Order: sequence, then C-alpha cells, then structure tokens
Amino acid sequence: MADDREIWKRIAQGDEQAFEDFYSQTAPRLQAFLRHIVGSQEAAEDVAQETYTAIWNRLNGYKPEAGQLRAYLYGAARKQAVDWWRKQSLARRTSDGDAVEDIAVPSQIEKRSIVEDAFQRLPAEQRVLLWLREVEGQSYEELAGILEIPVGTVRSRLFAAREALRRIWHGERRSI
Amino acid sequence: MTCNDATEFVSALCDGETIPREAAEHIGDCKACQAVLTEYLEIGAELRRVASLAAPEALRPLILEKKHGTMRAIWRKGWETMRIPRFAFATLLVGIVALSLSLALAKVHAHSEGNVLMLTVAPNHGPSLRCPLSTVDKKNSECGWGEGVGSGYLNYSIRLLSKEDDRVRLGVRAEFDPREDHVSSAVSKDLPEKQYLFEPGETMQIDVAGFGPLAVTGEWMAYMPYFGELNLEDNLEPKPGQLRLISPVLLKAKEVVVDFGGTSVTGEQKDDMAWLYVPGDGLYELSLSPLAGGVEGHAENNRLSFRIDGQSYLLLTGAPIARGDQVWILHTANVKPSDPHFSHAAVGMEEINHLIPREKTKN
Repeated sequence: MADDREIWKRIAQGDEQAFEDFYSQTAPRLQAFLRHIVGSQEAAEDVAQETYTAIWNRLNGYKPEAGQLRAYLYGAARKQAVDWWRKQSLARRTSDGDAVEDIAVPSQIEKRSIVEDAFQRLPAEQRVLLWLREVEGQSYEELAGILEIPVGTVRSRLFAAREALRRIWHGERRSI
Repeated sequence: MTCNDATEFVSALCDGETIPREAAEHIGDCKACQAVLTEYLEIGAELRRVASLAAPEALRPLILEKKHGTMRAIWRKGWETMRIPRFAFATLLVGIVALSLSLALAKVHAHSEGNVLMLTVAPNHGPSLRCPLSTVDKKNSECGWGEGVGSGYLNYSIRLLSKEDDRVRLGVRAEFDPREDHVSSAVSKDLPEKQYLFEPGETMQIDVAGFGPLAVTGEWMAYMPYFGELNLEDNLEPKPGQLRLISPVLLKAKEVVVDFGGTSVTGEQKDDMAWLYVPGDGLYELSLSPLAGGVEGHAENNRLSFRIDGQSYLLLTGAPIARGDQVWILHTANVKPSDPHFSHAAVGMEEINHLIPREKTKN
C-alpha cells in the first residue's frame, strides 16, 4: 500500500476513487475483524459500511502524525462496533425487557476451531484487543490510540485477555 | 520472582517487548512459564489462521452517502449598512418572492441575446453553485464563494470582463486551501487572475491546483435574478430541522444592519447552523438548538424577531426560515477571524459548533 500521507491527501480532497481503492485494500481484513466482534458476516458488512461512511464524512478526522491510517480505520471500526452492540442491546431490552450481557456470542453457529470458540466467549473489548494485536499486528502505541487507553494499560489488558482465553481454551480442551 | 509476578511479562514477550532482567531469568528457568508462553504463541498463531479463513471472498459495493459538514459562504460586493423605511422593505420582499416565481420564464436559450450570464460551476465532487453575471451592471458582474470540501476550502471568484461576440471574457481566481480548520470566505487578493474566453452553451474547465477541475457551463438570461445563487428547483419549504435564509435582511430597531438581498443559504442537514457576518458589527449565529450565551428568538414564517442587550432585532427573509418557531441567536460583537478576507459581509451555513466561531473574542 502507498504511503499513508499520500493516500489520505487524495482522500481528504474528496477523491472517491482513492477512497474506493482504500476500501478494496482494507475492507476484507476489517470485515474479518468485525465478524469476530459483532458475530456475523452480515452485521460485519453493515458495520464496515458504517465505518467507511463515517470516515468519508469526516475527512479531517485522521492526523497522519498521530499514527498509521490502518490504526485509525480500526479505531473507527471499533467505535462503530460499540454503537452496533449498544443498538443490539437496546433492541433486545425493548423486546425482552431484560438487558443483555456485553459478551458477544454469535448467533450463527459455524464450524470453528477450539481457539475460535474460546475467543468468542471473551468480552468484546478483549476480543478487539487480542485481534488487533495478534492478527493486525498493531503496536502498543497504536492500540493505545485505538482503544483510547494508556500504553501501560495495553500491556496489562493484553495479558488479561490472553490469560482469559487460555483458561477458556484449557476448559474446552478438557471437556472434549 | 514468582510465576504470578512473571506471567504478565510472558505476555509482553509474545509482543516482542523487552522485559526486566529478573522476569527474563525466571521465565528462562521456569517450565510452567515456558508452557504458558508456548500456549500464548499457539493462540496467536491459531487466531491468525482463523483470520486467514475469515476474510470475505467478495466485497459488498461501497456506498458513500452524501457528505455532510460542508460550509459555504457566498459573497457579493457592495453590501453595506443602510437605513430605509420599513414599508420599503415589505415592498422589496414581496418583489423578491414575485420575481422568484417568474424566474423560470425569464430564461432564454444559450447563444441568444440577454444581458445576464448564468454560470453553473460544478466541482468534480461537492455541490454545484450558480453564478449570475451581468454584462451591463458592473455591480453585479462578479460573484464568488467559499466551499468546505474535504478537509480544506475551495474559494473562487469570477468576474465578467467583457462580451466579445458570442463569447465572454471571464477573470477567474480560484484556489484550494488544504489546511484543516482554516476557513476563508473569499479568494486571496494576491492570487493572480486568469482570463478565459467562454462561450455559453459549452463546457469550460478550470483547473484548481491541489483540488482538481471545475466544470463551468452557462446560459444567457434576460435579467439578473434575485435568487442568483439559489437553485429555485429546490423547494422553498424548510425541511424538518432545517434552517433557510432566503435573501435575508437584518434590522436592528429600524436600522438595516445588513442586506443580503438575492443571496441565500440553506442547511443541508439537521442542526446545520446559519451565520451572518457584518464587518464592524460582528457575527450572528443562528441555530434551531440552544446556543450557550445566545438568546431565544421567535420565528414566524419569514420573520425572526429577537432581543439582544435590550435592542430589538428583526430578520426578514424571502421564505419561511424554519418549520418550528424557536431559533437561537448568538451575537458576538468582536470577531477577529484569522482570515483577512473577512473584510466584507458574508452569510453562510455550516455544521454546528464547527468552523467560523472558533476564533472570536467577546466584548
């Protein structure tokens, strides 16, 4: 991918083709990330669409000096996913009269690995953190920016997420 | 160091972080911590494998909704504070509405005679604007505006210099300022003017450095329309949550503070905020939502009445201002925008709490 500044310079000027290119290059991985956060491919596509639309409508939102464009994208996606969950929770409260837990267990039952099953049982924030670190390779500094937490907190939360996942994984392996 | 103390550093090792010597020594000697490290690494590898399978093979087409949050400022030379009887204003407003209704009849075909050239300037992205230029009235031979596009501002002015047979000579100054949070209401005075020979009925391209092309089309009209910049195909009825200032005139007691006759701005989205800038008098911001430090005004059809510091104000427009009757007004007397081009009166519309008021000082 070309330099972030160059890409963003074109996008910030309202160049739709540049934004389409950015979408084509980044959306597959972003949707994979979102699918594990919101639980279904369809919802992931919806949230991804909301994310790109939000970025397009706020073209002064990204500051190249503040970090990588990819980190900005995932930060925006995380916020959209949080909104999505909030709406889902509200809808369920409205229809059921009860609040739902902020732990996303996908409604779609798909063939998954043990780790993936264990991963889905983590709280959403831990899934976001682990995915961005392990899959997207975001640095501690980038994670701090995306999650809006101090860098030191990133380290401790990553540890907590890994440990939680490892314990769930252990439990599932024993139950097989 | 115990295993409990070291586990967080095991996690840090997975991320390629360096860890304290004590922790490194413990992990090197501790089979349990090494087993945890192996499991953390396995988890990471498995997640990456899962991710490789998760990426969709086909992408849903990206649908970009209309971009919001743009700011537009339209200006014309010659506005100044003046004093005229109230009756004359009522007559003028009636005249504005009447003329707007007959505008469609006044268009004449391209290449035919007329003394007003109606240009349409269309950026390759963003809304197009209209620019009426008179060949006989110097006061109405120039138009210009600023438009927020992306993170920058596109400003341009167009002067009709002369009519040469079927063509006109236009003087154009256009620039794009990519600086974020930098608003200017007009093109820089020191920007050289480029001349173009334009034939109405054809399309002319103006290239703006750093922005791209502007497509200019035009047709002759029989007279200078009052609503030159406004596309009258738009419904004059305000939409829910929308502010519309059609040809606004602001009066303070019986004195006209500013007359933007023939110029109009409309909100593009709910909660857009209108503003009127009057050199020497300051900035008036209008919103359908309460403004901190502002006053509540009463809107009724094309009139908005409000009081500031014991003075009564009346904003008259050529069409209803809003659907509701509540409009909040914030007047800031001493405005010192960083942009030196705010030397003339201007009217605009922008996303609330966004641009213009950011560099003001109050009395």
